[in-house]
Amino acid sequence: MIFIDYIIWHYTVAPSAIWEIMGNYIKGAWHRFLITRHLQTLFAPWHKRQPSDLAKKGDATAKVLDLMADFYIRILAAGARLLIVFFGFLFQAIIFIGFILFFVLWVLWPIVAIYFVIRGLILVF
Amino acid sequence: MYFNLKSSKIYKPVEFYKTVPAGVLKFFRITLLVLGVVSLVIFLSVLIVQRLAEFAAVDIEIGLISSLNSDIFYGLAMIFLPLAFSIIFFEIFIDKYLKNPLESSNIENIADFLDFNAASVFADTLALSQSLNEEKISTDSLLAAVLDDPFAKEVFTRLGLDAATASEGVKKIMSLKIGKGAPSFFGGAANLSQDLSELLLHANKLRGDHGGKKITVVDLVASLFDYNPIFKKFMLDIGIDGDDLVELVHWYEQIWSFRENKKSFWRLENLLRKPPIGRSWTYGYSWRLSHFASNLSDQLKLEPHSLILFFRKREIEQIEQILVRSGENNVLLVGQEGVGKRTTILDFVRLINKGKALPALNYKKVFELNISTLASLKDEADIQTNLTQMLDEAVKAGNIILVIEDFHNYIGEKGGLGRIDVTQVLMPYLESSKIQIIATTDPVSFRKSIASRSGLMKVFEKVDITEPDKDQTTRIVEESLPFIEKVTKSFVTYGALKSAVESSDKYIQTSPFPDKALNLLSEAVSYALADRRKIVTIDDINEVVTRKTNIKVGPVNKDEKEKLINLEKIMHKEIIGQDRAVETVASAMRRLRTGMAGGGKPAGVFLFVGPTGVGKTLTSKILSKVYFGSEDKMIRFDMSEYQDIESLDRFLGSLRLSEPGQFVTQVRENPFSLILLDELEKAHPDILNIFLQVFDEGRLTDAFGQKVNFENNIIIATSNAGAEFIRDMVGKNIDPSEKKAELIDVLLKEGHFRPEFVNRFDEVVVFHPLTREQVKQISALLLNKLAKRLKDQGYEYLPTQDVVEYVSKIGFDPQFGARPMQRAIQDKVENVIAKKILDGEIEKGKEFKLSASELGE
Repeated sequence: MIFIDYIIWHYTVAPSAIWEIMGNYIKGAWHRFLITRHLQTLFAPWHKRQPSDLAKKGDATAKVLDLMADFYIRILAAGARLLIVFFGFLFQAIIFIGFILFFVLWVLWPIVAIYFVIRGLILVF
Repeated sequence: MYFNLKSSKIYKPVEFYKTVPAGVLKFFRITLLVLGVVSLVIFLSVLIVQRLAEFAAVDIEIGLISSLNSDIFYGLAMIFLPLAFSIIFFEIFIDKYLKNPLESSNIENIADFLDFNAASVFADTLALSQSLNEEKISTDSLLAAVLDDPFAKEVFTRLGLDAATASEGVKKIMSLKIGKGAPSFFGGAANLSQDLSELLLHANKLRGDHGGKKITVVDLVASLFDYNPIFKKFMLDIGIDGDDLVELVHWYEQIWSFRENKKSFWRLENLLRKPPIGRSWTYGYSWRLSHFASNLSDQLKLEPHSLILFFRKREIEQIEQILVRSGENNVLLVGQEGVGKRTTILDFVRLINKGKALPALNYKKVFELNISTLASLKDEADIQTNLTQMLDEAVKAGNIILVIEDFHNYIGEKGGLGRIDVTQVLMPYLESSKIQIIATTDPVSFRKSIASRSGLMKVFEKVDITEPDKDQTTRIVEESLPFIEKVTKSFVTYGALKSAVESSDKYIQTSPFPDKALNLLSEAVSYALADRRKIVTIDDINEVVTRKTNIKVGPVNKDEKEKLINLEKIMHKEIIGQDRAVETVASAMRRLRTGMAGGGKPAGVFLFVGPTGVGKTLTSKILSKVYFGSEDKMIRFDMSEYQDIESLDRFLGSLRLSEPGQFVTQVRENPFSLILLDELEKAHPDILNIFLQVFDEGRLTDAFGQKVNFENNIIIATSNAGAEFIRDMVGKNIDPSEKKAELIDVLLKEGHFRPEFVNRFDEVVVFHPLTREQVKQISALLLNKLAKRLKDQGYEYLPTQDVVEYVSKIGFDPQFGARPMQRAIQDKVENVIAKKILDGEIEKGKEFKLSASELGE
């Protein structure tokens, strides 16, 4: 009786749970890599010390250097943020593929398990 | 509704685990997994070595490796691992599905409301009941089953109950009641006793109250209190009542729910707990801010996973709503030190870190300004520049919330880093909505330094962080307990938790909730650990309170019991006569110590009136000496020092002068004490008005808004009012104590006190004049005291009857009572003895007497 309950669970309840867990991990990865926020702030400034912080007050050259440094740093920062976004997408893809494989294995599990046990017995004996 | 366990959905896993204990599946799972992994590892190792050898074209002569057939290990791995995973899947099926059956909308069978553990307990109950041949399944059987349940063990340990011993006791009682009935093993409602049926309904109601989906073992435990006398007695003996058990149910529901959620690592809320990568990059790094402020967001993200129930939910929601609005969006948290302003801010930061705050606030960085770092800069201009640049940077970053603690220290003429008023620097930023600031202050400083400044009041929205009450403090302590236990590796019983809250409420008035309760609990934990004990009980709390306050708390021990019962007798060794007064104060002391006092009033409020020198003040002194160990242990106020209106500031405190009141300060520091108000009629009427509230409600709020509790005090006021009337009575040889009603009339008519004031005394005790015999007894008492003092110095003085008579004659005056007697002994007796000692007539160790003639009779 409990065995029948297990089969029902294995092929009805569990698969939807696996999809839900996959969704959680994908959303988790989106959050972990902060993809939306990194894209929104792709070219946001990077507030390190500026040349004008070290120069005398009113130094016009320092102001020009500020602009140049700021532009350069923003480009570098955008690169760093894009890198994180890229790895975020990659991680999500790995999760997706992994779960698909697991799902297939789950559906075929009784057959797979029996096959492996028989094959194992043959090999051993 | 009916009860039928067998027909319930939860019965399946119960029955399964009766047949196949959980340990069996676990054993096979682990064994097969280990064997499978080991086989796989061996197979891969052999394979790799063989392949490497082939690749290198080397003959391997390592005996074992060359002889091993890797296929066997491969085969073993193929057998063990699928079997292990199959068992894992089956365990998941039982744990997540079978033990949590889906609920139908219309449940008639109460057994369907039981969770797995509660259902297991019921199965054990039915089995036990059957073995005892009970006609109807009793609550005793349920109690015995619950006490044996391993899941409930944690609850009983928390309650401070030794479940194993209690279980034996219950079974012994039950074995004496073996019945003749034999209910069917999984009977329907007809086989449950009335009490058990009602208990189940009660447990179901409890489940509904705390919003749980299933009746748990804790619900059953809490319900046993009302339906099983044995369990009720167990609980009452350890100081736990029904309300405590209900509170325990709420707490454990939250803890267990938290633990279950934490174990489910695949849940979205757990996955979102991990801090995002590169969060600080989303708006760029603010170097100046990082130098002059502490990053609270980053500090808290390193915290371990902890149970946070957000007690200050309402206040945090207020903070969020203020911070997200356009226009002035700065928060000023106002609350006493120790009520939890900082904790509220940290809880808010945790919400932001988890992304659970309002969307506009999520993932913002919260920095706490470190003014002392700024203050260490060169000069005023430097400070101003750096502060301005830092704030500019925070505005540019766009994602900063700034916290400034004790804001009052940095504004105003005296404050402001000692040199500047930071308000001028901050105001432009406070007025813009580009940066949000959360500042904190206490109520006194708020009234003094901020409330009167309209500019500041305009840019800040005030959020009050009020002192939580006892119930709220209990919840806060419950929240904090898992962390305290984890850090200190201790275990705190529920009784100790409850006692920490109650005792700190009663005996500690120098700080507010929840600080004082948490501090008391921490000290008790340290005390227990120092004693090499890991379980903290009520006794530890009581011991710490006694050490801190010199107040005896907890159960009355044998010696103290003797003293309390015989208090009048002990006091009469030093007070002659005045039986009514002694009885009155002794009764009040007994009520106070046994916990009968309280209920919103002082333990006793008495007015002693009568002739002078008959023992009004002495009674208070002797009570203090007998019970508290010293006459100095009482709080004494000579009300003649508070005759003018200016003295109100000294008495109650003054916000304007920043002066704490003498009265409230002393009572706050000595919450369990005797208060003596001498010559009460001389106090200014405004001060007398203060006592109206004290006598009636047992509470007073001082000039600084801090409350003082008088519920653990005995207040004795003495008065010489009505002295004329009393002298008149004495002159006519009438005992004034027999004319109490007239005396009170005189007090009112002469305007000494108002009727509503006199009405607030529990009793007006009229002291009667001393009789001749009593005067002699006082004389003998004082001479014996002198003899004792002389004995301490080595002189053996033996007072004689004639000296006693002589002293009683010269030392007593009907107008002044026995007050002159001490002077008389000093003048007549002590002077003579002193002279004789100097003359060598009196030697140490040798007994001597004096005659009345020697003293001048």
